[in-house]
Amino acid sequence: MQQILNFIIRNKNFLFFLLLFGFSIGVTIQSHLYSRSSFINSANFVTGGVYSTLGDVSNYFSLREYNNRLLEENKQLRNQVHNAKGLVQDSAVTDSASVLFKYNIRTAEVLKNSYSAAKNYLLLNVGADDGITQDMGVITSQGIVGIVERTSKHYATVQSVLNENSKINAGLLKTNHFGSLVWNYKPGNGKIQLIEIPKEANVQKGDTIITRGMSAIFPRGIPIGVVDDYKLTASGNDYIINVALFNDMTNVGYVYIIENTEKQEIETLLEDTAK
Amino acid sequence: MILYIGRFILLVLLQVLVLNHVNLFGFLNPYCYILFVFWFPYTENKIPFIFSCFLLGLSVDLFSDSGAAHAAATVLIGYARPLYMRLSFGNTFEQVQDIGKTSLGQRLVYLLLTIVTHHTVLFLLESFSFNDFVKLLLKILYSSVFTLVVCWVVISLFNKKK
Repeated sequence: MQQILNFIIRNKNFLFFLLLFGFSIGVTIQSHLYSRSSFINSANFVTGGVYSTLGDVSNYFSLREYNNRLLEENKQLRNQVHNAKGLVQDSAVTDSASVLFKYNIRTAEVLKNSYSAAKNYLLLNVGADDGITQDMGVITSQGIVGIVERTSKHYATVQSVLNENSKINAGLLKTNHFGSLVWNYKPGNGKIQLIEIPKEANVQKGDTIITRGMSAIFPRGIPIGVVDDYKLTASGNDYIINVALFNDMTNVGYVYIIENTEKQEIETLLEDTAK
Repeated sequence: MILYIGRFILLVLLQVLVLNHVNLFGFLNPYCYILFVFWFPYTENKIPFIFSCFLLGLSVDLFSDSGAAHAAATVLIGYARPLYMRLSFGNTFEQVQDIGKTSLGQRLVYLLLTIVTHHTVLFLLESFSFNDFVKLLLKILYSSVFTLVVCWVVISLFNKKK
């Protein structure tokens, strides 16, 4: 007993170091093994507060651009509204309108955005108190941004599409073929990839990529990007497509958060079926 | 004490609000918060120092959503510091009270050892794979040089002698 105590006292620095080092390695490994981010994340009172104070200042410099984006989006929406007027009695439109109400849309401001690491996250100024929960889709007027990962009372972190763990169901606009949108991180290369598209799809450069709406996170038809280049995999059965995003991921100011009100129902049904 | 707490907070804020957004060539960031380790005076009782290194890394992790990779890297350089001081300042390193009074070469070696260890652990934990090992080594090399340059500028700015 005496010897053990002596050993501990003699090596207290090393043991203390080992404890902290082991804890850090453990947390890091845990954050790599599971696609959920670690419990050490930026959706908390302190970091959220610091980033939102900074955001208040830096946002002034981007007001003009945000204004232009809003104008552009308003123009598009007005176009849709006025062009749809004559068709309101059409049953097809009534149907698609009822589909749309499945989704609740909320707005949020981006407090922090990263795009150069292997796992990128955004921090939003809304949280559980605003009704945000895990696995809601995040988009801008131009396209897809990511999926809500963790929430605190007033903040939420978003797993960016530029994240190694991100896997989003997406497909071609012109056909019904679909695959997965993933990100293979290499330093200095921000290309995003669409994989598992069958070779029958007849991909062309410039084809539009949209969400397919199969995961109950994003509705169908959210724009993602266009085909930049493509090649067949070694087996020759499916395409690997490099996608140029519509969104400039380095410059995301305000976002929309999409809540699928029927998500619970869909998931329960799928679980019951799988049993 | 207040000096160290102030320095701690300032370095973390500098790191997460400014330096994390540099993205030179799209992926290079300097990690200058380790200057806290560089500037900390040598003490006989190392537990508080190792613990503050851990807190320092953890604070940066909190802001960067990087697991606890920064904490691991920083706590390691905190623990290995006496070794590096011995290597760079010789066996009498315990008498070094003011790091500004040592020679330029000694300080550079000390800083370089600290930076390279820190970046190696950090990027190993961040990439968490040995695929593309050459790219990983290059990233460690480039970032270390970048951090060294920026740190040296910061050190020169706060050098009391001039």
